[in-house]
Amino acid sequence: MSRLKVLLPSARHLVTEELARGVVERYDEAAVGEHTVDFERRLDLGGFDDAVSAVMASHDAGDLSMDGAMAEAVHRQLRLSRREAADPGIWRYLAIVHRPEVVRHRWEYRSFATMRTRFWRHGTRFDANAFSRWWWVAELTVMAEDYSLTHRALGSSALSTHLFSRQLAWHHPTVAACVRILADAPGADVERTLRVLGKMLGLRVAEAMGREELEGLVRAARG
Amino acid sequence: MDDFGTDGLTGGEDEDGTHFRALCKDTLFSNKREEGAGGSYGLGKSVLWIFSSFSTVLFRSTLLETQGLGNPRLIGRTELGSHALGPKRAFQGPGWFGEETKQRRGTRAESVWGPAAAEISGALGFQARNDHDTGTSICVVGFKDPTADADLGPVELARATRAALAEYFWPSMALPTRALTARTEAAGQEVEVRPHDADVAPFVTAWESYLRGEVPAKAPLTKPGDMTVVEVPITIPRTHGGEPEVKGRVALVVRLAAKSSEPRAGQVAFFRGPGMVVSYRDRSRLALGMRPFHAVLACGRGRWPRKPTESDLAVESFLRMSEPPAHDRWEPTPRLKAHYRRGYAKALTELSRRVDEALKELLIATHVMGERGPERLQRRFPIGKAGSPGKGRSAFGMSGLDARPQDGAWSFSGAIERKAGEGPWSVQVRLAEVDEAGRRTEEVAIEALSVTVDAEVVVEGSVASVTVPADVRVVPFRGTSAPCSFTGALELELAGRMVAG
Repeated sequence: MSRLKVLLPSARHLVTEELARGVVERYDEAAVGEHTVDFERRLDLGGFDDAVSAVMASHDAGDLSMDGAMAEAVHRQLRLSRREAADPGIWRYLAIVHRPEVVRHRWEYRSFATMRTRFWRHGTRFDANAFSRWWWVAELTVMAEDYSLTHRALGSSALSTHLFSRQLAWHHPTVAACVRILADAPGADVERTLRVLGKMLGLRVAEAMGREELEGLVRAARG
Repeated sequence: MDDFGTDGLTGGEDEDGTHFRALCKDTLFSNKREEGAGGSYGLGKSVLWIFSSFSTVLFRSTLLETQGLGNPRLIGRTELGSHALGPKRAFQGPGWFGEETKQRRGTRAESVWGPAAAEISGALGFQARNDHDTGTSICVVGFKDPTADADLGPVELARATRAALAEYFWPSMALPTRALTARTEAAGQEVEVRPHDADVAPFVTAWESYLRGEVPAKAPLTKPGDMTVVEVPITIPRTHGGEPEVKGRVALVVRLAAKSSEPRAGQVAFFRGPGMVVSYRDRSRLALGMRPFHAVLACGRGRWPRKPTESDLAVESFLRMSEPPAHDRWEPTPRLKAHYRRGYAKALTELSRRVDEALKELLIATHVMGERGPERLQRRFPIGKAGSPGKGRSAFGMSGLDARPQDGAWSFSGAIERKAGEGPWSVQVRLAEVDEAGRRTEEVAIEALSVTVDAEVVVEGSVASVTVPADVRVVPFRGTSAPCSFTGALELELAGRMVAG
């Protein structure tokens, strides 16, 4: 059974256009061995593989609604601490070596520049490593095994793009308030509201605000 | 090639250590023993024969003192492995053009002197010169540039020669008595080599101003054309012969350029006594934000040619030995190793490092943030978050910062103090709204800014600039922004800049 590994920064050259296009379906694990090390504890990927495959099977290629299901599946199957998940090497291993076809299934190839970051860049930005983004968005939105907020946040392209590139996304109640109010808002509205909200939170302490206050702030930012 | 005002090719046919022997007879040998000599390997003269299609060079010299033989002196040399005159007269080595004279063993060609030399040299195409025009003329027979893909015509060749002379020999041409002219028969005109008209003009200007004593030491560089000179220390190690360590100095003359796109902006011209630029080093990328400049590093006899000191001569000797045969850089050489004890390599690297440091000190705009204010104000004015922390003590300090909404706009005030340095300085004031991560979201325009001291305030676009005279150290200011929404936190950026060194 496969075990989680860490792909080292020296493997950057493995992110090629051929991999992004699927001309190279996957690398032989043995061939990239010099660029991988074992994850610090044993973490079998059997459950992860099954769950990810199931999501792929139930969604057409390029289907945006796959994001919520993928985020939940990845987060449920990879029980990682935030410290462990902060290592970009594990996400790179999953995307570049272990399951590159998942990345290609989610995003149609349009440009190598963007596709490249979806294999390599760590974080939660819209163009970050696919597995990293799914896991972290789920981590920031899950509430006691309830992933409904995750699904709603990732169900809106504009919301997930603009919300999870901001620092305020790290405060769960603020994220929840944003999702509740902006999940169905038009893209331009979402972008402007989050920009104003960001400025507002430069003067206010979100941690000291309750649900009502936060939602009021988001509404005020929306104008 | 003609030189004037020199001693000419003095010395007997076999007299060692003379100009005649050094230039015409001794291959790969230099008699330039004095500290201020240009070359040191004796290789330079070999190019004369290399550039001759027939490996033949003729010398005609008018001597300051002819020892009764009469001017001019004429001799020619053909570089050959061996040669023969008829079937029975074979010779090893070079062939000589001169007067056949009997020796104890056979004959040889020696210099032709006096009227005979004048007649022959005239027939060979040498221009006549009277006995007062001492100096030497050199004729390279069948001139051909072995490095060129195609033969340049005489006009183009003269142009290229003038350009190269201007580029590399301007330090020695700074004095009016050392002007160079280039004349081409084909073009029928004589053209003065004018470094002032070339890309190197800023270096020449700086160098000539320095020689005239017009460049102040450690002066502020505030506008293009401003110049200053800094003395950079260099330590010459002890020699194997027991000469002690010498602590010398070289002169770094820096001239502020108008823009970085100027030719050779950001370069330093390195040279020593003889006045040939050894190398141009590009130091434009020493640091971000460096202002454009041209600089001259005059070393050894070049530091103050009119009156070099003992230490200048020691530096001259050291750097001369650090030049490889091409004379195009200063580096550890076998000659340095043979002459100096340990430390010669370090002396060179230290010189480069100190030059860099001096350039940075003069040319990097000093952006500074001052002391930390009260905690609440720090939150509102995250001053110091942007930009590099820098090293050492800040040159500026800020105090009394305050900002508050008033009549639909921000009203802000405070003071900035110059804590170090001299000369004029300036402050730029900007306002911006920042988001929850401290990232700037949008600039808030400054509508007005006033100061209570004698300083010039310009509000342009959304930024206020204050230019402060040298004698003012503290600038209290008060300003208002354009009407704004007060949505987020306000960042007040004060960027102090020493416009002086």
